[in-house]
Amino acid sequence: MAKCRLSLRFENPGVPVPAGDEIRGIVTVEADDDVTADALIVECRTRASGWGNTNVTSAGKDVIASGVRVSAGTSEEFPFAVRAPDGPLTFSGQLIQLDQLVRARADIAWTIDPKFEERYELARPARPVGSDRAPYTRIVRARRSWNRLRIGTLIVVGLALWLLPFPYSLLGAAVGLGLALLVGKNVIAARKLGDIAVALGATRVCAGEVVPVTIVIRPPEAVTIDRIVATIDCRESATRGSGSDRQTKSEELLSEETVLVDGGMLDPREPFTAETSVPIPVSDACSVSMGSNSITWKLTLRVAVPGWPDWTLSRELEVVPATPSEIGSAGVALPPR
Amino acid sequence: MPLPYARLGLRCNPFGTVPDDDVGQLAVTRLGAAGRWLEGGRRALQFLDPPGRGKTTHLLALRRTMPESAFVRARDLRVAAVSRRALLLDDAHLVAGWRRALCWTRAGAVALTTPRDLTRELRLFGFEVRTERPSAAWTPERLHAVVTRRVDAARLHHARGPAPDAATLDALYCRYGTDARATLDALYFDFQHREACAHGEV
Repeated sequence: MAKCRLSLRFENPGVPVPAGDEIRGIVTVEADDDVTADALIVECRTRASGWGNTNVTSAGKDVIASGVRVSAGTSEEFPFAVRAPDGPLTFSGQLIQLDQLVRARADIAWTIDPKFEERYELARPARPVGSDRAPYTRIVRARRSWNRLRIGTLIVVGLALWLLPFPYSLLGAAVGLGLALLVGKNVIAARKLGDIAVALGATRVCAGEVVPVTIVIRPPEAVTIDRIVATIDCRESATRGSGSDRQTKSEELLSEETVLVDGGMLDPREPFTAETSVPIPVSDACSVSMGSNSITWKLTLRVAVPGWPDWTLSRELEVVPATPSEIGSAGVALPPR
Repeated sequence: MPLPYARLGLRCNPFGTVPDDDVGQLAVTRLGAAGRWLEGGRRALQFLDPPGRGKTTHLLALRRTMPESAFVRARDLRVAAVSRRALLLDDAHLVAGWRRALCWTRAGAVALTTPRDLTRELRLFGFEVRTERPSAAWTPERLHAVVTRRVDAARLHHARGPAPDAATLDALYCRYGTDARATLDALYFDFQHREACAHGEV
């Protein structure tokens, strides 16, 4: 049993702390008996809890005092100053609650270390934080993908024919073909749309900023499109239990659509280019992946062709808490046929 | 914007998933002297019920009364590490039969959770078996006690937190019966709704 109690109070209790700023406060050690602690440690922690299992990560710790001696019946105060993490911000969703905590711990030999933790609100940073924008480019060659799909389908059909004498082989072939079509949906779509190039100006963005999106399509023949849409989705997902008792739930936090092109005819003679800036909605839900709890942002591009499967491309975005700043435009060009 | 749940006088949603270390503290059980009974020789206590009835909660509560025991989940079980001290095995039915047999030969006393009755198997290895069904003790009063304890544990300092009224709890009991997990889930989402309302989001 520990011989002392710890408590912690912030210099400005109740005032949100901007991400990356310093948190100041005082740790009080109250001793019931003479106590000597090897160290008094203050640690910034992020806790994800709620419907799913609880996960805690440490965002760094500081030893604020060493060789602490407190006499019985007295108390001593130790001021501290630690740097708050850059994220994630304090957040409460449907399944996940993200809390930022400062934990004080006295390292006492041969006893369970007494601890005390206090929550604080981590708010958007006051100063712009430089971030690596991590642009993304993808070029899809329709002919090459189509050939691959044809080979795959031929293998499945060949296998089905070979297994024909066996019971349930037709069912297996039907399932195989269904899977091939599902996997090859984009390839079938690209058969009509031709080569497609996509560029995202950034995959690591701040909430409130925009992601420049460029799509270039070079159809083999004239093709009518319904629309080209970019969708931003944010989902929280939590898992509880383990093993066979594991359950995962996910909830959509937001979903916003930006229309790049609303119908039209694509001319095979020259590549068709559509550009737009997709805004990332302002939200405290930043990208987080903490064991059983995660918040994911995804940008999905969809090219809808009437009477034909849609061509889609999804890319996960890393949304970080930061003040808005400008991002350069995304440029992409198709290589020669 | 205040911290999540601060407007409700709480630190967090009281009905979220509780870490293993705190489950025993928040559990409302009538284990009585089960811990002492287990220590009395080659004895096995099985918590037998379908999923979501509180078997693991009972096992974790038992762990608090038996600090010398070893609590292990089926997926983390290492047969070589099983010793003569009491083994508290969660989801015993998920362990392969031959590994279970090795555990039963090595362990001195066993407490386990399972939705499948393992009495015959345990007797075969010389255990005196006692079976507990947590769902049998799940009454509206027990539900009320669990809710009160959870809300108290989540209370922010000395604030007065909201608590579901008896009529709501009775209605939940009528709806979900002994399925404690489904009941606590319903309460979790009810509190999420309250939190959203407190923030003016609904």
